[in-house]
Amino acid sequence: MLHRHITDVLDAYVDNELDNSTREQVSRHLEECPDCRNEYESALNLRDFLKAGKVPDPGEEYWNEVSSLILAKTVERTPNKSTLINLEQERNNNRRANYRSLVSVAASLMIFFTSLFFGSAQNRPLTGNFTSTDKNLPSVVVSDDEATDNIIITCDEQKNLLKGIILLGSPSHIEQYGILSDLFTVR
Amino acid sequence: MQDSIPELVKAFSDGDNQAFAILVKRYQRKIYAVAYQMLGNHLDADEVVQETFVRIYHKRQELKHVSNFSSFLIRVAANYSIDLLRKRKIHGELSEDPASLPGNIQISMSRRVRTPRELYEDKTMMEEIIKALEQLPPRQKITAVLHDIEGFSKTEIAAILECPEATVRSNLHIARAKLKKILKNRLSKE
Ligand SMILES: [Zn+2]
Repeated sequence: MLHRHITDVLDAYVDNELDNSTREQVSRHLEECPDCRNEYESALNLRDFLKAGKVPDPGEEYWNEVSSLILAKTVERTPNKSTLINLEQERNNNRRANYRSLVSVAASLMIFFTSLFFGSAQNRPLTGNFTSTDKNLPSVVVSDDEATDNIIITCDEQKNLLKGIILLGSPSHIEQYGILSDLFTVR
Repeated sequence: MQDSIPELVKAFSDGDNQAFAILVKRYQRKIYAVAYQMLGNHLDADEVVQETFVRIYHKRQELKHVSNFSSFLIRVAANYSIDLLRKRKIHGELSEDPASLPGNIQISMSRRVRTPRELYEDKTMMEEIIKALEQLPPRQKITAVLHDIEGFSKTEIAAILECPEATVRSNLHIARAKLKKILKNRLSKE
């Protein structure tokens, strides 16, 4: 076998992946050629060197700790059936609370954008309070701190606004509370 | 008496949390080792171990279509390690000195039945390997770690990294050539 062919198969030779006849040809060449033998020996040395390293063992205490931590982050977060009903109720309450806070953020933004487009000269503060006229929030009445006029957002506007916030903001927070599904069902 | 891995995996994907707990116990060391070699410190390896199993837990439905659990698991760990490695490089964070491990971990390490000399040799050898590996780009590094240290076959690595076997071969070849160059003095001394 030619010298230049050996270098192509040397990796496979070191990893013991060659068929018998090729293997013998390489062995024979290695006996004759000091360059290839050098190459082969340093490959063997590297292999032994890499195998000799031992990752430090953090110890039994750590393994127990980390596996309980993993279970706490996963399994123990999954509610069992007996607590499911309570959790469902709690979740609904959370949803409602989060929906309200989102709407108030939306309202503040609405005031901000409205003031940019229509009332920038008036220099009104950018914060706003919101009051819901109805439990189902068909429309939101937003009152500006100073202004005497109210801004009424229709249900559709409200949705568009919230969609915008979702696109801008972190969706994970919204998903977490399952608000997303609430938003896009038309009431 | 002991369940086989495929049985455990099936039970886990069917919602058996006990099976998941056993799988965690069985594979946590392997993942830690791969991650440690990739990232060179305990804290990052610990993060990879935890995150890998959290991800696997959320992917448990997918496991029904997975033929090789171990490859699947190592893939998640390898990908997360590579992400973390890139993040660390961007932020220029240096690897932590192993001597600065949290106190309780150092204590439990010293409880093992190993002589201080053995411990010292393990530690310095591993440090040298990690220093050499540090010079490799992530894909070459993970290939070298999985093949030359962890003993996975090229076919297995191709499955783990979802790339052709030829890519594994060439990455390994380049990685070894670089490592030989980096470790030239060390390797010729022996
Ligand atoms: Zn030759």
